[in-house]
Amino acid sequence: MTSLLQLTNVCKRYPPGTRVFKNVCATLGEGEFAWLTGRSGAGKSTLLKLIAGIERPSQGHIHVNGRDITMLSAVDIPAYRQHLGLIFQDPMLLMDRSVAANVGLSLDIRGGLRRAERDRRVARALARVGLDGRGDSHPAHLSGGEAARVAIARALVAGPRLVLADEPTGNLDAALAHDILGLFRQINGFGVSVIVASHDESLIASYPATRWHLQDHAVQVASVPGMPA
Amino acid sequence: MMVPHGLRRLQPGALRALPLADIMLVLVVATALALPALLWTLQDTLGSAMAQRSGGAAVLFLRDDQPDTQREVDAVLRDSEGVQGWDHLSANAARTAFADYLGLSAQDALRDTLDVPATTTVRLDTALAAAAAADMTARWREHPRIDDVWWDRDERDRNLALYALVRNSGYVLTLILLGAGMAIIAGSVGGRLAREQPAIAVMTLLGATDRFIMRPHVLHALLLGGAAAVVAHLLLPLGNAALRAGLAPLEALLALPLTVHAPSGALLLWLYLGAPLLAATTTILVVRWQLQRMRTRSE
Repeated sequence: MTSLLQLTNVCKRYPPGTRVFKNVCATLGEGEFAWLTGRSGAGKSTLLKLIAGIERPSQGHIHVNGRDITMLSAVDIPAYRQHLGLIFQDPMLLMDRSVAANVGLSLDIRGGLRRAERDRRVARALARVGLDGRGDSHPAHLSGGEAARVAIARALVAGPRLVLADEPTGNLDAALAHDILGLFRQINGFGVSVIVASHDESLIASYPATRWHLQDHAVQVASVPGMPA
Repeated sequence: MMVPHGLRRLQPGALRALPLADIMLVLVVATALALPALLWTLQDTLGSAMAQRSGGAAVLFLRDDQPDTQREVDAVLRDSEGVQGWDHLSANAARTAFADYLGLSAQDALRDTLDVPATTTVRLDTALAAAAAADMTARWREHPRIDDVWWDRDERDRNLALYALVRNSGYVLTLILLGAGMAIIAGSVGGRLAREQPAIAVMTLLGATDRFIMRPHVLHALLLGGAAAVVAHLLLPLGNAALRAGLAPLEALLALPLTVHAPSGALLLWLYLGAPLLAATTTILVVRWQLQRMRTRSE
């Protein structure tokens, strides 16, 4: 499996000297799914932020698709981030625009698409997350599960090769959480690499995959039991 | 048709909901540009009046009444730079002019007692520097056929000082008003950015560049700047009317023809380019600064 993401001796410290983790080494292949686990405060969100270029590591290198993103300048970071799919526990939808406009925002930021093509992609992304025909709805009228689906559609609409999800089911009940996991499995089935941070063991157990477990300032890479060879 | 991101937020519905803050902003920017425009009109009015009156701020030669002397003086003045024109008066004509100047009636016996030589009145170019004019009159004073030179330097300097006062006040007021306009635009943009901070955070996470985030704000500023230019254009005739009314007593007092001209093309260009440019430039600076601050805070 070709490596899409490679973490090499990644350290992160916050002043004044608070160490989140040190010498984290891990690799994610093309089309691979990884659970990022660990207790609260272990650094799951921080690691995802480092991979997304939201924060910079104190030491070490992060290669995405062969490119060392720790060397990217502030000007180059937005272009890099346009090729990622980012999903957070809070769907972070813009309340002053429709569902379709929220989903289309990723495409607007990337630019270069004609209106018809953009609308077609938005409709397709909404259909993929089970919100066909809800484009004109207002985010305030969505349930928690629907809002999470809109956030996933927004992350997928631009066709990213790597999706990073930080506790995407944290605010949802068990049934909805499994629905959302189903979407991630579906995304992964299309060959998109996915990292999902979660501490929901029942959810993790339901989908065998690589597990990056953060503990004692280090990451332990393991396979979830039952993971296909 | 593909509508640019920024314009989608400026659809007619959005214009109908133009908030009070935007209306205030339009009025402030319009005032900030219209007042300097009025000062320039005043400067133009005074400048034209002084150019017409420049004969009064003149150099007076006293000379003998011989035709040869007049010819020699003509030659001297032709060779001098900064001379707008000149008039010769015979001794008789000069006496009459001087008596009229003193307000003596035609029958007044004092007229005959006035001893006035033949004169030449030289009108200097208003643009001539005071030092250059002083040098020139000193040279003329040395001429053997010129008995004396009277230079009404005080009046000329007074005129120039008044003109410079109006001009410099115009510059200072322009700077103050533009600064105030920029401060108010900056406050308005800053407030809007603060309200939109969550949306900006989402856009940044999705990979939006500063340019993308800035675009709707700059388009908004250009729109408001355009509206401010139209308002300022409408304010100018009112300002000109007020200027005419204000200058009327001065015109009578100084016996100066103070004509207030209609707004020139340059003035309208100042309004229609200046207002959108002022609004857009300030917006770009504020958005850049705020985005930088947000980035620093998040790091």
